[in-house]
Amino acid sequence: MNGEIKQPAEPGQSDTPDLSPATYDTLRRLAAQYLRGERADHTLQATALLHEALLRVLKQPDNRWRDEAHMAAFAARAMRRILISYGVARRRLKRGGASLTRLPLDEVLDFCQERNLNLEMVDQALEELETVDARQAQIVELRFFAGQTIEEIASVLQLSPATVKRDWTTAKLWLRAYLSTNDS
Amino acid sequence: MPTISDKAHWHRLKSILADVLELPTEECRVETLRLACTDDPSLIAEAEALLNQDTTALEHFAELAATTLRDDLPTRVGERLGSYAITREIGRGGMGAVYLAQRADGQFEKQVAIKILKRGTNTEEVLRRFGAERQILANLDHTNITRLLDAGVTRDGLPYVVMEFVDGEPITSYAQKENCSIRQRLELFFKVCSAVESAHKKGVIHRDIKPSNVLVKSDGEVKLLDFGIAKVASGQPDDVTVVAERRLTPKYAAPEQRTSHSPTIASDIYSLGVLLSELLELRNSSREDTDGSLRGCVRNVVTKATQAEPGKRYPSAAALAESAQECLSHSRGLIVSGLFGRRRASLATAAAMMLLAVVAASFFWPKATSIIRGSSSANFGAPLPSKSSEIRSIAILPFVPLPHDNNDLLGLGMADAVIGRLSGLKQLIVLPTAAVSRFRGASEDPISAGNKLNVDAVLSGTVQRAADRIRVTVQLANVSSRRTLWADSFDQTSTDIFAIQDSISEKVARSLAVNLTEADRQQLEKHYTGDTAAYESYLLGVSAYNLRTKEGLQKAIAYFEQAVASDPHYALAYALMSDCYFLQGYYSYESSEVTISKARAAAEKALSLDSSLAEAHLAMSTLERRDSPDAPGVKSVLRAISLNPNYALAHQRYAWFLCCSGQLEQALQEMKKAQALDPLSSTNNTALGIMLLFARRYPEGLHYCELAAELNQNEPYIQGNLAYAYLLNRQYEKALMHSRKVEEIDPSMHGETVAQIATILVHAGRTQEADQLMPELLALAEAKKVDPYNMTLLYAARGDSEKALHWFGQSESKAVNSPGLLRYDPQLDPIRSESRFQTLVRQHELAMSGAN
Repeated sequence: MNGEIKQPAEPGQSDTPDLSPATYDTLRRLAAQYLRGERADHTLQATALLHEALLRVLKQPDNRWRDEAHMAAFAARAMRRILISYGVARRRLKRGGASLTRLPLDEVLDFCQERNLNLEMVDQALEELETVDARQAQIVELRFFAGQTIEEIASVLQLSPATVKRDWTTAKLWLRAYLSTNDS
Repeated sequence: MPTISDKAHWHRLKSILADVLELPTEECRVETLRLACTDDPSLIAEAEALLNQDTTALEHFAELAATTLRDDLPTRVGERLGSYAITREIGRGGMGAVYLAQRADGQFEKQVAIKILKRGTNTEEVLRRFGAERQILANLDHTNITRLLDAGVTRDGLPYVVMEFVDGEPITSYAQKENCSIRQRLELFFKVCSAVESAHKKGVIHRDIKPSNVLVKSDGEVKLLDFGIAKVASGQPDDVTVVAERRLTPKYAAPEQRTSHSPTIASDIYSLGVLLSELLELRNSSREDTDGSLRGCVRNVVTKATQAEPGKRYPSAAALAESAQECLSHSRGLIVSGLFGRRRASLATAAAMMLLAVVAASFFWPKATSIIRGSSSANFGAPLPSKSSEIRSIAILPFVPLPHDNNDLLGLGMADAVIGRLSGLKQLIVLPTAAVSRFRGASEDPISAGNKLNVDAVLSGTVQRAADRIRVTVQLANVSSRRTLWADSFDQTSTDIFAIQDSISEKVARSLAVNLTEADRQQLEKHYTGDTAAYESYLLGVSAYNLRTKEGLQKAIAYFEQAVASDPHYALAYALMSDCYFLQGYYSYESSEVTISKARAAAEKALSLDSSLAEAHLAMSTLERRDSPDAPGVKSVLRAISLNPNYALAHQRYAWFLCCSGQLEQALQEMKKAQALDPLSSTNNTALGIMLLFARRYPEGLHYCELAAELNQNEPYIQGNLAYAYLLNRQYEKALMHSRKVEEIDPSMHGETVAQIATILVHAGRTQEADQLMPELLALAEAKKVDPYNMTLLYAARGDSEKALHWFGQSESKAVNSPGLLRYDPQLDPIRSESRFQTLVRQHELAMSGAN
């Protein structure tokens, strides 16, 4: 797994050097929420797993946080990592027969399972798409892993909603084609 | 050729695709694509291939992410809502957050769960819906449904519900952690079904059944959360839109829920099916899980429950549970040792699984029931005010287990016990257990069951078990007036189950104003056993015995053996065991030489234990001579009837004796009694039908034969008899049809079928067709694959007395063992006057009387 967080490639964002305390707090809150679905009376490997993934994100030097766009991108990237490692862990734990408390993430993983979406392949596809069209990759990431709407993404990336929509609809076609040819 | 991973190529393609996708119609698209691709066929093909892909899963993924991965609810720990103080957050989902809260007004030390719904675009509608649904949801009173305690709106305008707090674990992880066997998992599942069924009956659909909404507490109690909350939270009108439903967990949502259809009972059934499949597929190390047939059977249930088309699923949660329950009942016999062996103690969560499992297998008598018993003996015999002198017959329906679980047997057992006590009362016609057992499962309302059974009154009830308590509610209703004569409930420790049965029996007798003699009173309090383990085995034995199949009888014998092993004085178990052995020989499942001696030993044992047991006398009667009215076999049957005037089987057997000894009119009277006592028994109906045919009352005879076939479609003899009835009524096409069914059901009866078809064809005047069958038939007959009696009938129909008598003279005919046939079968009329026939009949009868 790629542990390094890539710098969002899209240029043209403000150059504010420091992350404001407010932004930082937002991120921490976001992190806390990912964990909140768990019950206090269970010590689960999932907890450790999520903590680790989030810490990896939060440990990044503050200057990586530039603005809202970066933060959203960052949160999405973190969530992407979390989901994928959680998916791997869940499969492993299920094989071992241990029980897991259901997290909101499980809903997403269940969905992927049911609709035959291999999350690791989606991850790989996104890496590839990033080399072909970085903006499209970013939009997909924000939609898939930060749950943002077209309008929100447009506002964050300072693009018109129409442009985001064009990128999104065609990115879906690209992904589907990539998944069909590369997923066994 | 460049691929989509080529930057420049993709950028060109992407812009073409985006343009095309923005166009409104298919025609524009095709045209634009052609133009944009400058007529490059390979580019057009590539673009088309891309456009033809189905990307809905990716779109849904994004929508799901929007509802599950982002969450902007601030935490509310420390806040106060109404009289509750929020202490901890316990979960978050697509709909909102759930908190643990405590009553803050000091009224009760009570923990509750509060669900605060998310703010959405339709909060107004959610609030309106809240008002409408609140009362309905609060009325969902079921042990396995978390109660809605309160609802309201937070200061900042978000709707919330206060619910009973359940400290439990999702059903799937519970089952895994406790290493539950399939059987135990099914028991948990039945409770879920029972809860869902009860809500459905009140018009409430859950809409979001999934493991995280089905919790199991540490004591094994199952609780369903969030009933109907999905509907409230969607804030949508009843035709819920796609977007609203996408909040639902995709895996468990029925296909129609994912599209624009509004959820129905059928969509809950679908979710239950997915849940059942999850429970079934959990990994488990339990020994019982080697029971592959059970697994396969349940898998079929899952398949039916999760049909894509809602109309093809089970019509109700109860029907789903019942089907799964049948899997359990069918496999039960195969794991006898598992059920009754050492496993009992090791089943940590099996309180609900085992019939009376908490009752140690020790002998016991009621302690806490002195009040009931005391008061009852004080005014025993004094009719209750609601007396109803016009009631002469009663059906005691199987009690409905609440919640629906394996106590199903307990429900039938309770009814069986009350039937046993009441059936000795001469003033009252009490339908036997076999007649009412088909009403297991609560699907039928008691009055309509009463109508079908043609009785004056019905007793129906529920049995509920919680920990070591047992609660029984009963009501007695007059079928014609539909009035409830009385209703009562009994709440006892489980060990007092027999006392409850006593109380119910006694109250029924009193309320029906039956004048009780001392003997009646003894009968009412008659206990066949005091050992619950033995009783349990007996109940299982009876249900297997009623199947009358080869396997059923084998299992029944095994169960009755267990019953007498637990209680060596269990006369009734010995009596039924004897009948099982007898039937094994009678149906040629086993060699009768072996089984007859076993049957005799068991019957003798039963009689030595309890000489006043009707079943024991009846069992004995089948093993004795019945060739004259003074023969011991006939006396035993009459003794059984006098001991239990409501004993349908005894009446049936006496009727056959009368018929065979040439007293057809008396036989009909007796058979009518049997049929009235057990009107839904296929053997009673078919026997009555045949006797009516013997009496040349063809249309009436046909009626009962048809009834029998309706009640039991898979019995070759019943189909054969129905064909015979149609033949005598000159309805040849139908006769042929049912004759063919015989062979369809049991291919080993090919020979008999060909003979019967040939006979029908001859009667119908289609002799040519009949002739074509002759070569095959003669070969079959030579190979002894046709009963000579059927050959006799064929040649009698052809008017060939010589050959008819030839076949009639063959000794190996099974049918001829029944002298009733020879005396009365209308098909023998053409040869009846022949003196050789008369001689042969006498020889047969002589041989018969010496046989036993």
